[in-house]
Amino acid sequence: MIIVYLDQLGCYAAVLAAACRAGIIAKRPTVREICRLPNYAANRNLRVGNFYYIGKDAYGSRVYTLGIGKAADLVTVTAADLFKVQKVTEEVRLIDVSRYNDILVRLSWQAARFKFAQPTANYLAACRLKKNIGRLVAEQEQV
Amino acid sequence: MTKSFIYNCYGGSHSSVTAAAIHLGLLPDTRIATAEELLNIPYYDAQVARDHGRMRFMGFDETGSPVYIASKKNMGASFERMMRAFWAVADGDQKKIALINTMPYVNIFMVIGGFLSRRWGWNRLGRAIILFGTRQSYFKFVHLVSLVKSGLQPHIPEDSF
Repeated sequence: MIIVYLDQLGCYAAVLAAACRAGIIAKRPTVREICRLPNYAANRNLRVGNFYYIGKDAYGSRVYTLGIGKAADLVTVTAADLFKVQKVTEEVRLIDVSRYNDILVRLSWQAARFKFAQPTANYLAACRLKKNIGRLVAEQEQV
Repeated sequence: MTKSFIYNCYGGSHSSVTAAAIHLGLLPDTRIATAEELLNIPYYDAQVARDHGRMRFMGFDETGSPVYIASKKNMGASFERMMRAFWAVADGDQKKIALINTMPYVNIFMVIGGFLSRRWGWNRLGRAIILFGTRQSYFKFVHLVSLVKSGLQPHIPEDSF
């Protein structure tokens, strides 16, 4: 099975959820641990369509993240149809976690475009994501 | 190698349908199609809001390749990038799908007509305007299809992923 976590840029809530799934990070991580996640805040140019390989979970499923901007509803439908018509045999699960990137996280993306502000912006975004970690973990456990 | 052609536009209702129909030979490529011929095309001016995002099968072309249409609303060029990313995640061969954006060939009449017809439900007026607009841009769609069939359609390089 392939599991793809989706958020606006593919490297904030999606990376956190994917890392929990892959067992890279504890279920109650510290803010520093979130900041040190591979591919965390990796998207600097706010371009959608970047995907990141996170790892494999306990069942051997590959876990990815993908940035899809604001078009989660539409893109997931089209992707599902694409897999169907192209007869993809492996199951692909798309999980949208965009809602866990709240307004402050989204504001941090704009700040992170300036090099001098990146460490602070990434730290603040991680603080906000840490607040939502409980719901994120609960969501990925239902997959 | 069978390649799937996916024509995409804002609503998946006019420009993508027209281009796909030309590709399949359902519409002529040596003259401008009549209004009746356009209205007889499957899915022409038929998509509704809940259909956004769905891929619709139009038929097989002369090489046996399937042709689809899809709507992408205002995602623009990032739609192809995202679909190719999904395809790469599923270990798909990028050469097996061709995503063709028909939006650059849409004129103002098609925009207005499509809005009146699909959004407001003014079918009679909207269709008249959109048929006029489609016929205005018709040879641009024919040109696009000829580029696609000859393999000259621009695409995102594979090493982008």
